[in-house]
Amino acid sequence: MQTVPSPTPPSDRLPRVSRPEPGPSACPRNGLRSVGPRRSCPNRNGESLLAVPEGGALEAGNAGVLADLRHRITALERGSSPILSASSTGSVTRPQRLWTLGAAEVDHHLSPGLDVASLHEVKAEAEGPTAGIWAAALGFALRLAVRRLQTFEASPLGAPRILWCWPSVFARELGAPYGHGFAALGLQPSAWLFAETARTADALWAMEEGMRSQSLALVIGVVSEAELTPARRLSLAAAEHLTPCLLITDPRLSPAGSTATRWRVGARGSASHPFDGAAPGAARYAVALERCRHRPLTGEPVPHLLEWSDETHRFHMAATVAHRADGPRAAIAGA
Amino acid sequence: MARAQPSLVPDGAPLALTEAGTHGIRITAVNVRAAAEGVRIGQALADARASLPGLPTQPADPHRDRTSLLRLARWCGRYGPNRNIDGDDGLWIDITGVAHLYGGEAQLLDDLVGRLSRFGLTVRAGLADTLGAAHALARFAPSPALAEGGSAETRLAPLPIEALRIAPETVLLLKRLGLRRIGELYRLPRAALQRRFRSAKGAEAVLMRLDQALGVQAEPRRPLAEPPALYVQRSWPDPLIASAQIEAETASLAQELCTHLSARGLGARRLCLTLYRTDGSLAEVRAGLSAPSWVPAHMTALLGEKLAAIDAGFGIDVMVLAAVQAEKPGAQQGALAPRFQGGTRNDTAQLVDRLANRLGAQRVRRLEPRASHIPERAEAQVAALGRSQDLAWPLPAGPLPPPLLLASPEPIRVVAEVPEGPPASFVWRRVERRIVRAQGPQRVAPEWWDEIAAKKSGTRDYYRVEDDGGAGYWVFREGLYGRDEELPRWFLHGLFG
Repeated sequence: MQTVPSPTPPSDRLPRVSRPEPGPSACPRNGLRSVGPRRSCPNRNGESLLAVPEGGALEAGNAGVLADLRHRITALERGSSPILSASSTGSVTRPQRLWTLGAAEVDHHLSPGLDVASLHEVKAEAEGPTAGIWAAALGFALRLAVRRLQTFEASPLGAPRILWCWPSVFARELGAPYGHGFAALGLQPSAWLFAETARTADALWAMEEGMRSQSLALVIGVVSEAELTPARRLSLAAAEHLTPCLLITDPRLSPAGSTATRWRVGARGSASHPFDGAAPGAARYAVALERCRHRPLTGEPVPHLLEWSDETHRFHMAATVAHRADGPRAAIAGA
Repeated sequence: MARAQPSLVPDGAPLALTEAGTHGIRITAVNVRAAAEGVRIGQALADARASLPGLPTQPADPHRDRTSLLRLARWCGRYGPNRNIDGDDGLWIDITGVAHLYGGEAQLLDDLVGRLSRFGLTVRAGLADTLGAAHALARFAPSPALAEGGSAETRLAPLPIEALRIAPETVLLLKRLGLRRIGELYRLPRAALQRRFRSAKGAEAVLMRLDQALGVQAEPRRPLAEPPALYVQRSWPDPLIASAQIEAETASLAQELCTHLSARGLGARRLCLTLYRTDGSLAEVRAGLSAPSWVPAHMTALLGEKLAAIDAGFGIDVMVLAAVQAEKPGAQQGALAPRFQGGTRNDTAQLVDRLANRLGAQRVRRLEPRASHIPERAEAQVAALGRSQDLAWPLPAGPLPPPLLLASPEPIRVVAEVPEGPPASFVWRRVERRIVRAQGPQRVAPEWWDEIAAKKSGTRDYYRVEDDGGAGYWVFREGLYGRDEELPRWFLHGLFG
């Protein structure tokens, strides 16, 4: 169990909280509904400023309780029910299936599971050839989409729909989405909508519009960078319409604000193929959770080596030792 | 229909338009003043100048005449959706069911003539039961000529036979026969008329035109635009200028249209909002819908997006909202389930409409499988706005394809250990990638039944390779060693995430 530190914010950060933005207010939930005197208000970097007792020496058990309370407050603020009702009845298992990665080592950072009413950012590692690193981030995002779709019950009306928005410059650079490749990942290509826009602003508009329609399971956007205000708008739209948004941005540019989580993803040598020693096997990623709004992280983010299972459609921790020297690669670089 | 341009000609001066022909420059159009001076259409310019020295002329521009006539025809849409240009100098409007909005046919004709005159046009108008009769009245009767229902026969009788839209040589022949007025044709036995022509065709043409003018025979008309399934129209004595007013009226028109649509059990697939400005110009806003809709709010949102770009100019006095295409919606499940269930096809229809109307229909797409083994031909990106169908995506046999496919395969430089083996390294976009794992080949032969495609592309051997950084690529070698004259070439076709 992770201990929660005292996230007393540096004093120079405080003014930013109340910095006026072009939105209705920097923290519009304040004053709309009152839950208690202590309010959680995400600051510019997305970390929660929910007060934690000074002095910070918390026991592990307390941290768990605190996390649960925090979670209940967020649920209250959103007025969303499923998680809250589960907490209030005191049941440990939650009725709604959570959007997780499947690897417990990473999932325990999340509160609990990826928030479906938030903006999540995926960034590739900064080093490497452009197409390769973007492809890794897109591959990871597509697998998160697979995980997201698993949270839905099977419906006779077909798979829940997903919107993919990107400026056409990316399509030229990285290639168009290929339906048979989507099907190979376990996604139903006919459930996807693709919006290829001329400008970044149009892509961001399309994403927001997608969330507003409340008819999508997920919105994925690929843009070079989302400025402060667009990111804030996307985040508010996600919260209001309970539609999650995955934003894949240029790894070399600064991260977007208002995100619930930010992932840094890099491709790694794949696992060994069960039947063919020379062939690529299950895809592996070095995944670091750089930001997590609901559970402030301690220290430097540590990359986990995650392996995607095409059979069970989930990530699990790759066992690095199992990668023996007789394989084509002796060690996993950077893991 | 020649309009004097004030900048070129002072008021009240005669003017003629000329065109160079095989027999010298001839006059194609004259204004009232020039006609009063005795200048005739078809006269040689030299003859006209002889009688009226210093007659100002301008070269005729038939192309511009035609475009402005078309523009005028579009403007006439305020009097009825079915209208088009008639020859080089006329317009027709089908006012079936419209006249009562103006208080009667005479009032409608007055309104039309009044508005056109205010544009500075010389108007001759005729209104009758048939296109042929209206054509004859407009050109050969004192304007504005109105033939009450059923009176066409008597109104046409005194008009010259040129009014029947028949060829000049036929007119000449009829005149030689002593038939100068349309009325004289009524009494003539049809067989007798036919006998007087050398060919049966000539007589038939005259009789057909006569029958069409009298409404005995139907005449096909080609309107300027496809007539809408349903339309609602509203006009104001005071023109609208403020954009808020226009938006509010759009919403109320949408409301009205939707009432009519749902009364008929229809949904609109294509919408067109036409705004008629007081100065005679018009603006159009179009919107397409991916599923039949009768929701006013949705229509207003789609149209409102583009209304912002509309310039009201001197004001808008008529607005027409038309469901250009409407169809019966398919059976739909009502909102039994909670709203947020991830969405289904029907829910996303409105989203598709909004995206496609702002970004362009071709920019919002779905994927559809195609029956082919050539990867780039195995799927198609189709506009999401169109009719969607659920097609099965069969999983290809063998190694799985990548989620990202380049628009066209990019050539790469490959170093391979053995000629027919996988690459050991390759250079793509100037970066060398060292391959550590490879799977393949998977052979894709060209489609022999499609000769053109088969000639263009050779046999492909696909490999899924992975470089030392963990990035996955889909590469192929095109051509076969020893079989083709050229050496096989390598391409990169897709990226594995």
